[in-house]
Amino acid sequence: MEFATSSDASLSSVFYFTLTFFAASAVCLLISFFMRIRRQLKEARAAAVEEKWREFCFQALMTSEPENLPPMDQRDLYALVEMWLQTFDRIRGADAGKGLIRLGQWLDFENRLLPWLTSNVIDEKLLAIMALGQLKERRALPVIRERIDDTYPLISLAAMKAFMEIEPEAGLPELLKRIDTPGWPIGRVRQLISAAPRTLQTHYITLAAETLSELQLPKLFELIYALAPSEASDAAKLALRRFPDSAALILIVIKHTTDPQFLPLVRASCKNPLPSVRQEGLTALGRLGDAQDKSQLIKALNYDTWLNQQAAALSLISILNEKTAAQSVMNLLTTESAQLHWSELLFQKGWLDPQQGAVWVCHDLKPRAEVAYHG
Amino acid sequence: MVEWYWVAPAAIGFGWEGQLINGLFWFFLIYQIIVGTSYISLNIIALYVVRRSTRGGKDLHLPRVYESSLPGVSILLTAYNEEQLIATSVRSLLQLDYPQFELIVIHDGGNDDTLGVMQRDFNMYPCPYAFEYAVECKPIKQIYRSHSHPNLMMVDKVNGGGKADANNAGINVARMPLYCGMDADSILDRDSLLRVVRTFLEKPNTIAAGGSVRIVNGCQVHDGRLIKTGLPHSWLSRIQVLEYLRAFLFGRLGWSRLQALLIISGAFGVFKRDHVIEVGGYLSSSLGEDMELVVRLHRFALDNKRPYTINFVPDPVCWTDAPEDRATLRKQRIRWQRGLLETLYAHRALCFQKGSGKVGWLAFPFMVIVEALSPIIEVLGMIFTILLAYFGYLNIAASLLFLAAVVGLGLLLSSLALLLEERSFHVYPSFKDTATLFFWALLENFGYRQMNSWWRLQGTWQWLRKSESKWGVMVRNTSWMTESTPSK
Repeated sequence: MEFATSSDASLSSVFYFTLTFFAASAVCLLISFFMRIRRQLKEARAAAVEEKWREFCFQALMTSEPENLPPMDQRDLYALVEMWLQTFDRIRGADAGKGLIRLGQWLDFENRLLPWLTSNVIDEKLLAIMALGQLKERRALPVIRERIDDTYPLISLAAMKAFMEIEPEAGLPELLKRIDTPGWPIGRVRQLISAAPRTLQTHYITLAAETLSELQLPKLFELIYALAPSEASDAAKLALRRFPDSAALILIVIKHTTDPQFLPLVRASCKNPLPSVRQEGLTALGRLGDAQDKSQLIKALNYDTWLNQQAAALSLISILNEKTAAQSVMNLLTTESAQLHWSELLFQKGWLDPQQGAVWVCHDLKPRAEVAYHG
Repeated sequence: MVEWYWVAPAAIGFGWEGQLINGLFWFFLIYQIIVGTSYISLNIIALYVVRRSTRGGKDLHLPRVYESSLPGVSILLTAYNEEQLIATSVRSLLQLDYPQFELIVIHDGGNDDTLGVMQRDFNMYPCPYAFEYAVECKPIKQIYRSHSHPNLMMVDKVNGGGKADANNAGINVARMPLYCGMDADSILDRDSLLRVVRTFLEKPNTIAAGGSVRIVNGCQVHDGRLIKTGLPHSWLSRIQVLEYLRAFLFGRLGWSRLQALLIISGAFGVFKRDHVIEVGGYLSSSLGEDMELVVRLHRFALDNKRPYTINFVPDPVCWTDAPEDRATLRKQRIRWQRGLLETLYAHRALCFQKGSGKVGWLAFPFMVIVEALSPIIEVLGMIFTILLAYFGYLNIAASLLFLAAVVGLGLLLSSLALLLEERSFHVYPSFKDTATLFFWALLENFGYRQMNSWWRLQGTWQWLRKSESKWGVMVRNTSWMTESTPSK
């Protein structure tokens, strides 16, 4: 055994590394084992908590005074709060929620959960933020506000939600500030705003429409059309007066509007040099347009980009909405792509006449984009 | 020259032979150190990422918050002679929990009854359908839609160009902003799309995202839904379970965290359709079309200085059928190795390219040194050892120590993957499964690893000789699947 008596430093270091590898592997296996046991114990405990406390959660939905509550073990806190939050998720109606909040207060969730706001365990922190938000616990606000821009999306989301629940007056402007922040998709902002009282929503959104920048306004209008469509037209006129050439703003307005006052804008946007604006314009003609727009739509169906052809075809069929008129359009279509779009729509309506030379698949095999960067 | 104690205690002198042997020995040792250090570093990153992820929180929030803004997804399911599995896969996918999706089955020619099964089971009829050849693919013969499922359609195309070409056909027909590419032998969890698409909303520059793929063999799938997880019975599949755990739990998670993920599995990946069209879609001649596309997306964005991210979701979202016989596994590994080499060679300009960041300076060289060259170096190492032993230059004890170090490193990496699994998703219900996998992590070093290296070396040889690229027929095992209503 040369190496055993060797003074070779590299040899002995490999020997010790090998030992470390095997020992570390065994330790990993042991840790996995203990983690599993811990998890199973936790699951068993959660099941016991569920059995013991579920009826009190449901009672709290119906009665303002629950029966005598059993003593709560601090070790059951996580499982109990999780179940309590799940009950919130399952119910509808503010009154039922009030009962659950009372239950949380009786169980002293506020004081028990406050230390978890700064916990290193991410699940505990998340649970505390969500529960303290439901309980409208103002003492949690300073920490919750710090967490709004947490890099972990769930913490940031839960923090904003809790902020809106505790203090919507301060939460709404904070939320609107993030309207064009990466990682704050418009759907998320909308969902959070919709939880605020209606009057507050209208107030702050109107205020924002007057103050936000050209870049932020399109996103705001996404919100306005989703949350308060009746107030959108006036706000849109105001905004378009401020930024009449903003393509992004025009795009959002014509995408959502159902107000005939915007028909001239819609018609003009069908000739916009930007294909995306033209697409929304052509789509909007389907909602707002009339027979006058037929020639514009046929022109787009023949010669515009593929997506715009599709938009034009859909709008045209909704304007015509009659079998013979729709079938007669086929003779006016000069490109295969236009005929294919039209054949598809006629087929869906059951109006496709096989004698008219319908097109079933695209025959132009030349791709729009070639494979870049190869070889 | 103390190094002599390693390989040649019986002094062979310090002449050129000695110097050569000594040099080779140090080459193998340093290579092993690079491999070990790279993998352990990825593990440390993955442990950090997993520590921050929480399943409970996700489940609480996922369904509601993004509901109103989830973009539509076109699911592309490529099918070539998949009559056995296609109905189950389609049924499984139709049950997905996602507000807006279309399922496009691409029938890539083939000579079995896939088309017939689809027509009968899902009441499909031919119809005119508007699409354009945005990216290159073989001609599309017909589009079918389903009477019973309005969001299900089938593309019947001329065979050729492999899965890449079929995916391109799907991209041409798709109408949603995102598409999800997957295999017909894979099963998705019901909320897979919700989990992966979330990253597109949270990180708006995301152009592609992948999810963890696991082995379905040994599990129970009923009517397209995974109802019970378990380990497969065959040793070959068990080792593949380990390989997938290592690849997905620390490999891809680590690279994703470094923003340098070069592979999104073809079994499940979600992409922004416009971006893929912009780079020309999948490369039909490639055997590793999934990796090639991702590398090309990186290159295109880097060259055009566009902000972008390619993400990975560690949640187990897709379950795939693993080969259970050596012949099929061999074909798969040869294909993977050829695909890897093809991609790395085609995009060699990315390696150490100025401005390519971690992709060009870290991930790409890693792929070349640690992944692509490993079969050559491992097989050479084996030959080197055998030759030394034959000529009597080998110090048996030192060589055994070296072998033990390599086995120990492999075992440690597998153990770390098992630990990550327990820490994060604990998919397998019993600890016996973990212990069984640990046992196989030890055994895989004796036989399987060498066999795998040999297959991959064959793949390298075929690539060097530019042999014809073929996917080959894959033998499917469908014992994990049951149906209440068998295909008509």
